[in-house]
Amino acid sequence: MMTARPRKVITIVIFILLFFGLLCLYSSCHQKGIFVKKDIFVKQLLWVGVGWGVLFLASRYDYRSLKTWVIPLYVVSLLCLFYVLFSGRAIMGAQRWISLGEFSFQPSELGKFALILTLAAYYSIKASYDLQARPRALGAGRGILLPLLITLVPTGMVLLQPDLGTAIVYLFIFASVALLAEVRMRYLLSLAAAGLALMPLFWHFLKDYQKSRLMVFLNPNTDPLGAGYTIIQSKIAIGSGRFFGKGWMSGTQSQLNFLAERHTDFIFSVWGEEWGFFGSFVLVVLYALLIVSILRVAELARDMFGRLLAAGVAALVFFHAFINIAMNIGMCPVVGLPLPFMSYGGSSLVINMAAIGIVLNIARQK
Amino acid sequence: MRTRTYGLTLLACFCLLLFGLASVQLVGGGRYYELGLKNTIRLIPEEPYRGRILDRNQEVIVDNILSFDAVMIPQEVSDKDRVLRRLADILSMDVDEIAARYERGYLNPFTPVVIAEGVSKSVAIRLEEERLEMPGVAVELNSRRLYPFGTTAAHVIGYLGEIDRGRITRLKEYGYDIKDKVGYGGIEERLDIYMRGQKGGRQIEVDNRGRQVRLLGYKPPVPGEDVTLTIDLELQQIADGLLNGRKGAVVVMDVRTGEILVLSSAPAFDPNVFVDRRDRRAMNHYLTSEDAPLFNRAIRGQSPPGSVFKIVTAAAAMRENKKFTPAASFVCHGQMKIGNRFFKCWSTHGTQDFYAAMAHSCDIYFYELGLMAGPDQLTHTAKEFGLSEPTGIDLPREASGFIPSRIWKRLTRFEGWYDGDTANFSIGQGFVLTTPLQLARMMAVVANGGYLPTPHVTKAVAGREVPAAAAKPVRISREHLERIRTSLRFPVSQENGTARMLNIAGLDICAKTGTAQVYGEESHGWVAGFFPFKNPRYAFCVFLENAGSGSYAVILARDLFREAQKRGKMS
Repeated sequence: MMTARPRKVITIVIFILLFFGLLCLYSSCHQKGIFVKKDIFVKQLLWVGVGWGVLFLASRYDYRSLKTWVIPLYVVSLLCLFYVLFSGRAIMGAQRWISLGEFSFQPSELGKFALILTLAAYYSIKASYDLQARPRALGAGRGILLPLLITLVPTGMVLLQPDLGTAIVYLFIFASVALLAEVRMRYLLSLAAAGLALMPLFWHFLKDYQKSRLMVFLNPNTDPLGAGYTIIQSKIAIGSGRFFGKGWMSGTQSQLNFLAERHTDFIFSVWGEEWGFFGSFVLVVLYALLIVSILRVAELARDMFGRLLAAGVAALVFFHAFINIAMNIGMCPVVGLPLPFMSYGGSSLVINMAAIGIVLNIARQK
Repeated sequence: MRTRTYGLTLLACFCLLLFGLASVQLVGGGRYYELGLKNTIRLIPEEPYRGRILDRNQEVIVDNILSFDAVMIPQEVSDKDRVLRRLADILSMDVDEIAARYERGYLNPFTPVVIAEGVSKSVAIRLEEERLEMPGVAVELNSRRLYPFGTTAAHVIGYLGEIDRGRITRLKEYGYDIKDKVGYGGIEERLDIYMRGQKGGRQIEVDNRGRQVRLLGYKPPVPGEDVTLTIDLELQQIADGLLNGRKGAVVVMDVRTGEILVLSSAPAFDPNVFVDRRDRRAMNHYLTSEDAPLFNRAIRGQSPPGSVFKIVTAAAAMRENKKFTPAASFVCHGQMKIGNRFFKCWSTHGTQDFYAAMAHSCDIYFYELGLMAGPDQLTHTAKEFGLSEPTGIDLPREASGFIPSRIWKRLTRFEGWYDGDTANFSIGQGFVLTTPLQLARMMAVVANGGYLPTPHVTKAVAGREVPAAAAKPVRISREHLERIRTSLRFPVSQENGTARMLNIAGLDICAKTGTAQVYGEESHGWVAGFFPFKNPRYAFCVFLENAGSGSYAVILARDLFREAQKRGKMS
């Protein structure tokens, strides 16, 4: 019923999410009633405006023409990742940002988008005698190993940054797109098994602080000053919201300076405290609605490319929302992923809006 | 088909989230609410020991000292007014001032508020003695940055201050936080990440009035790394002393490795003022004075190089005209007509060959060479010498200087390039801008036989040598560079050479002076060069802003090297 008109549903849900995000950010920019971080709020307001513009443009641009952009975009995203990896070397190991004057831009966000596009385009290559692409008919090499390689190159680069969260996002996008492209199940299963078997080896490649974050997840008391503290504080904030929350602008925990990253990765703690379980429930339902609608678009898409593109976007939004909320309530380790449409940050917002715009376009063209 | 299953799986995950949220907010809600009311867990950070800065001979240039700070712990203060009055008496400060500092510094009941930093030992003892009568007052032992040599090498070092907004946003990813101390300018800024160490701290549980009940955890701070510079403290002090009271810069570097031994800029500032923060007048002066004491003239000051640029002109002429030999002569009548304007020489030199023209810095000769080379060759050759790009020194915010070109003039001035422009270009006037460091590096190229070294001031971090960037070969033939190198001895060795005063026995200095005219102001004085003549080791550049003439720079260089030689530094 609700998913019969996915375009409308998606637009409305995005509007509400952005509105909630601004409410929440506005509140978190206050400390003891004083508007201490006005610049952050104003910047985000600006980004929301830009985001709508990007969404509108993307929804007017025929998504099938995006195919010609795939290779350049993929290459550019790799170059940007490569650039941040080396430009920061001299200062302190590595960095994640490219500075553009007042604003900075995070190439790993662009990478997510480029990867979805590339994988979707890859799986929709078709033989001339086929009407539709049939990834099901592909063998192990072309069906799974080559796209895996396409994924692993940017994944490796963000791992070196080191940004574990984004690396996992890339892998999740790959898994989702490959699954929905109907690649043979046994390939997917054997790949998953191989991945699991390599897990212990992978542990050795993690940086110390990443290991400690994982350990802290298992026992928050091992690092009372660092990540463990954040989890405890965020849980106190969210838990103290109880059912109806403390009301907008009245969150004492998150407005005091207990949480350092409350604009970005821990914005949900502000939401949970001020709007309670009721608010959290609404938020989770909104995200669920959004994802179901995007998947609906995927199902109705007229070609493989559109279908996989939409599926990739659904995977992207789902994974961010799920992991972010889960880490806010201590259900999973702190990996530093923003909450889509809510967290402060221009790069991620604009990329997400562009992705949603493309989904809207796919829905139009069915 | 799989889409459905996939969607259902995702929905199941969301249900899991809802369960998690319910367990935190509904089941655990009451407990967290209680915890939140009290918010019983507090963090009290402990600052690490910041790495020191040493000179090339392991002499400590920047140190930390333990300082006694008088603090008030809000939760323990009972009778605030009485305590404030008593404190004012002991610290001999104004009561209002103390009250203001207390208000400004107040964060929460358990974090001590610093009232006075670095009080004397006797005051500290008195405070401790009267502690029982002033509940809430304590003496803390904190480590504080100390710059024992004051203004010496201030621009290389920079200063330590409280982090500003821009830096927090930029550096947050790397663990920087509000109220942190970070380096501004110089090595303090550039190598901050190595020197700062890691914060430690205590996690405590407090009761509902915010008083500590028990200690939950302790993480010791990790001290930062020491940094060793290539700077020679003794030489630096001599140079700083000579520049004192003037405006200008001195650079001395190793011609092969690019190690900087002296990098001095004046007027200088005393970094202690920014750590101490008591002398508001001095701070204001540093931040707002027209002489810009915080500005590092050696790497950021851009001025026309004047006649020092004739080295580029000579190289350009040799590259353009293969038949050019040092024996080629031109006659100097004191002026010559180029286009429809007369271009003057600063004297009348008569017939001059290349070596004589270099020795006397004859403008006419170099107008001729510049016209022979043409503007494009001048531009290219200047770029070969590393001009118009930052040298890559490991200090923040280096300027790039400027070298004009025909296309630049066409695009920005909407004008063609005239021969008059070439004439100005060939004596380093007009549009050309260089930094003192760039000219020192240009001299290093002449001295070392054609390599552009990367200047650097960091020798080692935490005892590990920092490898110098590889020197880049320039595309100017060795033969041409050798001719220029030979010619640069003449200004010093000839009886009436422009840098005659640098004729110091035992050093065999080669140098070129420059007097750069500035519209409406006194001329800038330059001298740049290298020594010893055979097997050169050091390149240098002295720059004096609005000094009137290059000879003042020569005098300063002479005093510097004489003093250095006397102390056995230049053997």
